[in-house]
Amino acid sequence: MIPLIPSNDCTVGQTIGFRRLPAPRRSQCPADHTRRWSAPRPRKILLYACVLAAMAASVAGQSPPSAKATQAKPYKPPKTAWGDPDLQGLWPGSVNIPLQRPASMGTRSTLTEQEFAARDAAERKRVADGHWIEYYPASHQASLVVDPPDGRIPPMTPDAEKRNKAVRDGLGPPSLGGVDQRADSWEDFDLWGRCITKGLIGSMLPGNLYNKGNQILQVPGYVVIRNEMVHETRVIPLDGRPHVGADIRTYMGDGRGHWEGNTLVVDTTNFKKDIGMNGINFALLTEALHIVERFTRVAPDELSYDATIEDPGTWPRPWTIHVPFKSDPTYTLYEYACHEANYGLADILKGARETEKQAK
Amino acid sequence: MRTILSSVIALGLLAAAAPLYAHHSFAAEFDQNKVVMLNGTVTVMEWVNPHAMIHLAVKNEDGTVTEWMIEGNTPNSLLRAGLTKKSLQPGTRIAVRGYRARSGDHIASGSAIMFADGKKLALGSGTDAGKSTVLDWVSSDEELWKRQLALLRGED
Repeated sequence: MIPLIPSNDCTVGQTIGFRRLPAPRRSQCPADHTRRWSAPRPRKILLYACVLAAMAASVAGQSPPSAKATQAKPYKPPKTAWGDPDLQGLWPGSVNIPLQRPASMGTRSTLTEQEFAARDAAERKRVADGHWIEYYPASHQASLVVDPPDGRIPPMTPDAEKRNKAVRDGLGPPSLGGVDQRADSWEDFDLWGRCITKGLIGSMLPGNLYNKGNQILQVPGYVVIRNEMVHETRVIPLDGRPHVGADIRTYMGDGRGHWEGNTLVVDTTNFKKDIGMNGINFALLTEALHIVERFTRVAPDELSYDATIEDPGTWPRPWTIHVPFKSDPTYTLYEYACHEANYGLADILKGARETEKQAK
Repeated sequence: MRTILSSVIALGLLAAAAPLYAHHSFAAEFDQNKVVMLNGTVTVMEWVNPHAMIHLAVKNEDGTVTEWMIEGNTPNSLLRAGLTKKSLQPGTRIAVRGYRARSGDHIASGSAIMFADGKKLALGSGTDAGKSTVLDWVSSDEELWKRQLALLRGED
């Protein structure tokens, strides 16, 4: 049976194991779920609003009450001094949403309360197990992948499958990872294992177990996006200039931004060939990789992020992820100089040789 | 290896629960069946990426000293978990429970440490089979930890 979370969780943090769990965000507390009807806190104003909204919905016989309430007050994001929508802030990927959805869920994109409780309980157990990850509150969003509608990355093309299998990822000697996963050379490790990059969009994903910080800074004509994971910084021009020439290829690609209303659209091309998309799969992607990201501040503390990934040589159709990033002004991005002392790489190679010797 | 370190106890274990995959493969680097318990003195705490390293001088039964390297979390994570630069100053006596490197070198992935005042801290690596939470396995083998505490306090 899944242990239910104590009711006082919504007011105080909780010590489990050696970590103190932060108090869940207000949006995690059933009492504050103005969009949900379970266990409302007896606050008169909220109650009146709910009753009125429910009546309205009942009369209209269509939209849920929350939709009415949302429509009543559309959020207007603040502007920078020079008039651009202000997206600045710290937006760590501190939200617990798996990349893909179980096939059994079909096209259902939202968790039931029971599924939600189970997801959060599993995360709390992980922290209690003493793993060196922080606690991240669960979301009702079933999966990061929102398109295709089944919340699953489309199957790869046969050619990409072949490339995927060829990537060994430095998992060690054949006894551990199979012949295709040997650790014979530093080149048998993926780009993240080699401390180079987790790539775009791997660097931004909530799937990162640690170093989840993302920061957006703006100056006239540019947006700067920092990722704590392998300390990436993208400086994205907004002046409509074309992408760099086709011969210029980089791990994080060449991003160009523009505004569509309050939404920042970043179009990125010119990726290096054969990079992976760490956290997604190990397939070596093609030079045609094209990523379009959309950033919209939808509430003072929420940044809606969508990324559509297109690489016809890898997936037969584009697919899209959605992340509801929550602002956390207290989050500090520390430098992650990953290769500073990457003992692990040498240890794995040495361990593989030792294991082979013992096998003889 | 003939020398059995008084403070090193290798515990053969059944298949253990796989630790979370981090920046590199845990299983490729460390052997989950080689659990070690070390008791020694911190010589250097390297606050380095991608994993912090505690250097620990461990006295062997024959009086010689072996320097072990204990892999911890990323400095970012350790800091967020409450460890500071002052936590593991050279000269600090600690006991460490961890998993030894496959290479056979004196390197281990640290799962928990204990200070001379008996305080235990999770360093992060995997849990053992049948021990579902860190509290379970850190508080398990109570006699083992008691002995480590006695060693740390010089009562042994």
